Amino acid sequence: MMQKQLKLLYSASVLIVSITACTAADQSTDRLALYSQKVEEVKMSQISEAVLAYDLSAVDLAKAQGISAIAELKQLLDSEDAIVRVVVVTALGEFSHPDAYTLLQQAANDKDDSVAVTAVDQLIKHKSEIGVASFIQVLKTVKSAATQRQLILVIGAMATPQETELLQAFCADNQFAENEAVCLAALSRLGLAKEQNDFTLYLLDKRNLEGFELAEYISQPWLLKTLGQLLRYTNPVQNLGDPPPGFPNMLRVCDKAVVLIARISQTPLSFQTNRHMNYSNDQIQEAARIVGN
Amino acid sequence: MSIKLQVYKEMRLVPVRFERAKTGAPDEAFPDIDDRGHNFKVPAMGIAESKEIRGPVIGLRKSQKIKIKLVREQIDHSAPLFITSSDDAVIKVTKPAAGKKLATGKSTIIELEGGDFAQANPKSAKIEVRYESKTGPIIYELTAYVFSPLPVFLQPHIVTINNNAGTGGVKPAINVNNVMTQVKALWAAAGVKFVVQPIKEWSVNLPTANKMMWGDINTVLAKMWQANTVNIYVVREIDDALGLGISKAAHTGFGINKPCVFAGEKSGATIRADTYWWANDVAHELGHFFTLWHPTDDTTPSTNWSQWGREDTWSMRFLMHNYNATFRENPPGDPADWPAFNDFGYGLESPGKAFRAGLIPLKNVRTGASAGRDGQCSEARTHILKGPGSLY
Repeated sequence: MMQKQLKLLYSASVLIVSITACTAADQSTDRLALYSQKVEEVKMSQISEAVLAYDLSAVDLAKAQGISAIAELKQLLDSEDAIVRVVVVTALGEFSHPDAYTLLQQAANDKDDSVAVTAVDQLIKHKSEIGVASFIQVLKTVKSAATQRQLILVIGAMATPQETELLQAFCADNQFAENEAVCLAALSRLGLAKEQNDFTLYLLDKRNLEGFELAEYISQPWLLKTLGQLLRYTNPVQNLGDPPPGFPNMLRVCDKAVVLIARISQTPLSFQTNRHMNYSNDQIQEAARIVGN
Repeated sequence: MSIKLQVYKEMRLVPVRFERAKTGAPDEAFPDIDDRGHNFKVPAMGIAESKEIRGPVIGLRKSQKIKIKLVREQIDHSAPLFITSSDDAVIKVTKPAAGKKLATGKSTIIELEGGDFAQANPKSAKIEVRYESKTGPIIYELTAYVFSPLPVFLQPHIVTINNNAGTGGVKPAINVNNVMTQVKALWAAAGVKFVVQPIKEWSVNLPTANKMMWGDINTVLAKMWQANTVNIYVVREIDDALGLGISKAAHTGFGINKPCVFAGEKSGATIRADTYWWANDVAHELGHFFTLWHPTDDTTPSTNWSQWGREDTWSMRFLMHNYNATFRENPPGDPADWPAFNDFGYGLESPGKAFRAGLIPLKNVRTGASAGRDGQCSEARTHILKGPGSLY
């Protein structure tokens, strides 16, 4: 029902614009301008239709139209339908424009997590233009653990020492327990010694995929010693689904550690580490020698 | 009617139980029920981890209407039973009507409807079976998780593989729309809402017509791959595989340039024509795309699956079971001493060979060293909610 209402609303607004455009065009007798205006109106209508149909071609249509599409997308962001809002924020992410950033920052607080995480993802695509200060502001307002996680990680990759203090203060009062490790990873990456120590303890204790994802995000030499300690664990940590021939079904803790040791140390090994593999004992020992084990 | 039971030491009585209200192809209105075990937790997923839950668990979306079957087991078939919800705002009983007694008989269909509450996070409530009146003692409980729809965008591609001269290709005949209806139904119980984009049909030239070898995969992915969706490629045949689900987290380690799902219509001389076979296979590969595990995996090469893959009825109920269908294969001792599989509720692939079922488990029954192989509803939803940058 809401979709139909929006559609009618939008059709009516196009009609009004169209009448106005005709009057102006008659006065100036610029038929070419009138034609261009009508073409643009048709494009705008197509964007709304695509958005309301959950069709991601709306993203390309909006991009092709340019920044004038932002106003139309803004209207659609009021839809009651969360999937419509997901499509809208995906389209807004195509624009390097302050108006789009403002709407995405609002959407980062959407009541629906799927809209909020998509909005934050789109903001991250423009992280250098948006800057850490804005991300910290958004972080203070978001309502879900998922969006908080995204923001903490991006801030941890960019923050200055002063901004690091802000993140540290936020993490100390963090309401989502599931993001404790994410905070540790971000603050560790930013160089805080206590958090680096806590992160190594976490990684050694959990030995899970989340830990390895965060270790990969950090990718700093102080992790090497801990990764060396993980080389002795052979329990599975990542499933690879139905893999192509010649690949293992799953990766063990030691396999993940070998790859990270090679990547972080940038030391050449006698074997490749850029493909999924269950490494032999000899290969694991070679990786251990790099970290002095 | 009295029920006589011989009890040695102890026995757990099950007066009634719930089960899926129909067998055969998946249907959103007839979801599967996670009725494995007793006193297990449902992991956190936007709602805190549950306490130990007594009885089965079911998942549905807000406003979704579903039917389940109540079976009278160790109770008289005409015993007066009433069905209530512990929280009508989360899930309500629409049949039998409020205050009305359940119809008599061995099996009765009950209709439920997910609430339309404002909160985005999931909520849970109990469907209670009460004896004698709507306020009578509770003799059985079903825990329902009601989810806001969690959208995942899918882009189906039907790809005709020509040879390098641009000829010889046969377009896959699969009816993608029918398949997607069932794929959606399987994942609806986890609150996932697949948003299927208009199908793209196109062709590609590869060394061998109608067969994609591993070395060809990046050639296919270089054409028409769509951002912000799960790209599902339906081809005539994939060398040495029926389907593939390559997650964003894993794709580079395979030398594959983009995350993707592939499904092959043909496997050697066998052409897969059954809609459920396809739907289950694509839904399974989507599970891998969401980083889900098989019930059993090992470090031996994938070609040796049959050496260690679980073939028990418990794990064959999982959508994520290793095999699309199974039968009793090489049992120890005399094969005649082992029971044959009949049906896991979704029909037979061929006589004596049952399709794996479609359950996406809510409960976490296998914990500890087996973590990741159970409680998969939570696993998948948590991964999806990491955002499109991690998912697609």
